[in-house]
Amino acid sequence: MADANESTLLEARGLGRTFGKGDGSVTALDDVTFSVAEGETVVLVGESGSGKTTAARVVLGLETPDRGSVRISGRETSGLSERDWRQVRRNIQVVLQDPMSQLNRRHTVEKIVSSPLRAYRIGDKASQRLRVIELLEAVGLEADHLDRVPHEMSGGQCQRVAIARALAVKPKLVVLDESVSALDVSVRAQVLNLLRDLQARLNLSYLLITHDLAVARYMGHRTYVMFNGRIVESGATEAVLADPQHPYTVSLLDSTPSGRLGMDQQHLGEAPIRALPSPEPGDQCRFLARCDSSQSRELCRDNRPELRVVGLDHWTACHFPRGIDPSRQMYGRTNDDSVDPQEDMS
Amino acid sequence: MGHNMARTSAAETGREATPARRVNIGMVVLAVTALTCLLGPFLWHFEATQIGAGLPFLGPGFEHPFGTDDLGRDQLARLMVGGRITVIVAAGSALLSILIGVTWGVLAAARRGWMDEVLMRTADAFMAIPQIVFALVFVAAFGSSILSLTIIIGVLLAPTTARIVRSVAMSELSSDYAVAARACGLGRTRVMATEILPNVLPTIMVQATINVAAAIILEATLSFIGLGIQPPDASWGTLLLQGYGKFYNSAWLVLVPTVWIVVTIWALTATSESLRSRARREAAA
Amino acid sequence: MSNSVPEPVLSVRDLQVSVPSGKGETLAVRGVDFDLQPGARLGLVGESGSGKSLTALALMRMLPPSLRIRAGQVLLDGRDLLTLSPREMCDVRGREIAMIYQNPMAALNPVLTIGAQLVEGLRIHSSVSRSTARRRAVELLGDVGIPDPGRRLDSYPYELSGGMRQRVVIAMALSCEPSVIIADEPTTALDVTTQARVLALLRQLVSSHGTAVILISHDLEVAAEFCENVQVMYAGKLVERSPSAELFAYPLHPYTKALLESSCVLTTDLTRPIPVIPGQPPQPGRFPVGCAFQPRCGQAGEICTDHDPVLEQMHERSVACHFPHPGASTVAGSGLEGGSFDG
Repeated sequence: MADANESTLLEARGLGRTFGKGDGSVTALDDVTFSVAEGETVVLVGESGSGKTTAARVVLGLETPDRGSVRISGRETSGLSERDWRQVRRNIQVVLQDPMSQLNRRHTVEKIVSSPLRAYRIGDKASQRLRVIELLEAVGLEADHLDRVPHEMSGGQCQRVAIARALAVKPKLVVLDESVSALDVSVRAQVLNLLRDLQARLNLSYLLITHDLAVARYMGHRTYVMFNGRIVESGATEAVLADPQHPYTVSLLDSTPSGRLGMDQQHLGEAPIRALPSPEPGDQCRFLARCDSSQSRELCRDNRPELRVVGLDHWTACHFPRGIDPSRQMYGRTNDDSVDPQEDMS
Repeated sequence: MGHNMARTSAAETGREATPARRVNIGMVVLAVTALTCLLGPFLWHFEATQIGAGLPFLGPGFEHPFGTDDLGRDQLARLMVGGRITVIVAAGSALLSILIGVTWGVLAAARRGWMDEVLMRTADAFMAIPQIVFALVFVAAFGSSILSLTIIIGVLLAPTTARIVRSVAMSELSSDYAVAARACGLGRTRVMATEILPNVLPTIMVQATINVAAAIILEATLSFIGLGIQPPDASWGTLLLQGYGKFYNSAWLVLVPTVWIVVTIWALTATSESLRSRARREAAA
Repeated sequence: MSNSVPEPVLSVRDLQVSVPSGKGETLAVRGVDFDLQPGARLGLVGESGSGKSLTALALMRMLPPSLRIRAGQVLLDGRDLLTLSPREMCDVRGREIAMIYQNPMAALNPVLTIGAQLVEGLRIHSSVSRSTARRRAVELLGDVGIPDPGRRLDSYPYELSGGMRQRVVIAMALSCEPSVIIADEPTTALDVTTQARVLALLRQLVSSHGTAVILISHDLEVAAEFCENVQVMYAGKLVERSPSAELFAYPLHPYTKALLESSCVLTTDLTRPIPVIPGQPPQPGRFPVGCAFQPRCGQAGEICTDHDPVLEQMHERSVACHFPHPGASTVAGSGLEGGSFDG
């Protein structure tokens, strides 16, 4: 995990959140720690029940954790008053999943995008309008969209408006909560390109929540894989996706057709037909019931695994990780932006 | 034209086949009734209080389209003047009920927790008391002038309105755009005022028309049992009461106000239906 | 694959569906033709506005009230479903042609136990006794991989996870042994890990029952892996139909090729922006004249604005384009040749 320093925008430590009490209680978050530095994209990957959405809500101040702390630009956010939260929120904005329902159906685009400006009383009406036009252009929309209403626009256009709104007050970090999941394939590509472009131009950071590994790989510099409220694997995206150590990460990759294509032969084969059992409660590895690794189980039953280092910028919470294999470079990512000669991927 | 995967069918379905007409027949009837009652007395050549305008207990005819009562007063004139009072009381109390109810409901929705509990249990308490009993007490205390009747009916209708407004406001508060607004830095009050209320407005309008209908019935009931408008003023309810006593002499004295009340309630219901479907379409778009 | 061509179990000819629009009605499905062989798996892929879901609903004659089938034939085992009376269609639905929906929670009645729903389906379409139906229901639940099926029969939908609910829906669809199943985005609402398992299950079941499947999806990869043949729909028409591996490796239609290239998958090139198709998919009522893809197409010619190309057969593939693309896709190797499916 990156050490906290001046360029750490977001730091979440030991987050815990349980809903309900007693038998029916659901632990959404259990000792979740992650951080986002300036200019980078951090991805929280997981399925439903993994806690990734709750983590995002905690970070945004929409949910109060039972345990743990969140620091935004060095400032502790637990116990902040509403007024102080408003100050913090200038630096951390959000784009949600559903393109249309996150925009007020009765407002025009101009009203929607300028609403943060009005909330923070930035500029007067005229300068706000100019800023809105500037933002619309930055996200690839024309000024004649100003008077449109959400249901007159397509999903892709609505999502761009949401992005424009998020950028209005010049935040440093934008939380993207499944922001491309509801878009058509061809539109998704446009929005992903836009997000990357904006990141480069404005030195933005993103906290991306997604269940889609391909999007995680494309956008993320670092990835945290979550299962049932815990982080089971984390590290540099290329490390985590090229050489997954935790059986859950392996199963995630295995479930994507293009993941199957690239996977080692030993993980191919018929996906078992039976339904997956629910995760176990108690003080054992949460993944135990689903784990089809052939390793010894006693350690897993008595001891909840903690995150430990398995490679360069690569951690996993498993007593029996797969083992690093340097030859697995299937999904390598080059960090510099210059165009490399096409690698032979086959 | 949503592109949400889960709503693909809706997107491909497109708009509704027949956009509901802006103005439906209910609204027309309402407008006609209101206008007649408000302006009619100036144009009609009989006075409502004119005793002996015609022979008593006349049926509908050319001279007196709705007949006359036991004192020979023209029924059409009485109906129009009575309608005035009914309209004033109904509209006034509906307005009051909206004002009280919306504030009540919005406060409860915005400030969850104990305030919500207190407000809603108060509403429950109000609704638990039979309306007539409530009215009785109030009339005994404050008399039955037009003003006090308007106030009491307005207060009686407020709790239901509050409940409905609260539930809509709460559901809007949990919708994506409200969450996004909060996360983007808008304060709670601003969110309620600029984001939520415009989306609650259609519901409020529907409820207002329903409340007018309820007010008419309440007023008519109260007047019918003698707690409402007192003579010499007349509302449709008092006309009913007076006609009821003379039923065997002329059934028209009861039928005519009854039909008018029914027609007006129907017109209000039709209006509220069209407002409701318009609201639903706007919400789904 | 056998050499002789057997009779298709489902034959669709010139299917047209209209939707209401500002000025009356407009066609959202503009003439769809295809055959479905017994036991085959056919994919129908498209983005929003393509008409794929409407096609599925039209086949089942379950369109919402304001939509209408304007023309076409749907021959199921030789019988035209579009000419049947509503009552006759009710008989056919569920028994000969069944549907699996996108949202399992919406497909199941929340106030009835799953046993009750399964039994209901069984008893409507065949005259079995209650106990026989119950036994069969337990068998079915076991077939779809639900643990402890005997007890689960008395569970309510809310007690099951999303994946299990979808398995129940599959069990219901299979219960009367239909010859055709239409699966409309059956795994979209499910978790990724559950998706793979549910699809594998469906695959195994349809091959053991000999059921033909039409899989509707927005996800090309999923369709290509599950189906033997895939058809691509755009703006209400079929633009390409190919065996899966070839669709991926050598897409003929510029839209298919562009769609593959703009898909963000695990093998997408990270060093440059994802190639995009400019603009967005057109909606019914706004389909361009001539070839609907022409405004966004990189290789459109003059003829494309004047003449809407017709679906033409080239060996086992069909494409509707004036300039079909014969070369290899630039999408990094599909790896699907000789891969995970048979035939």
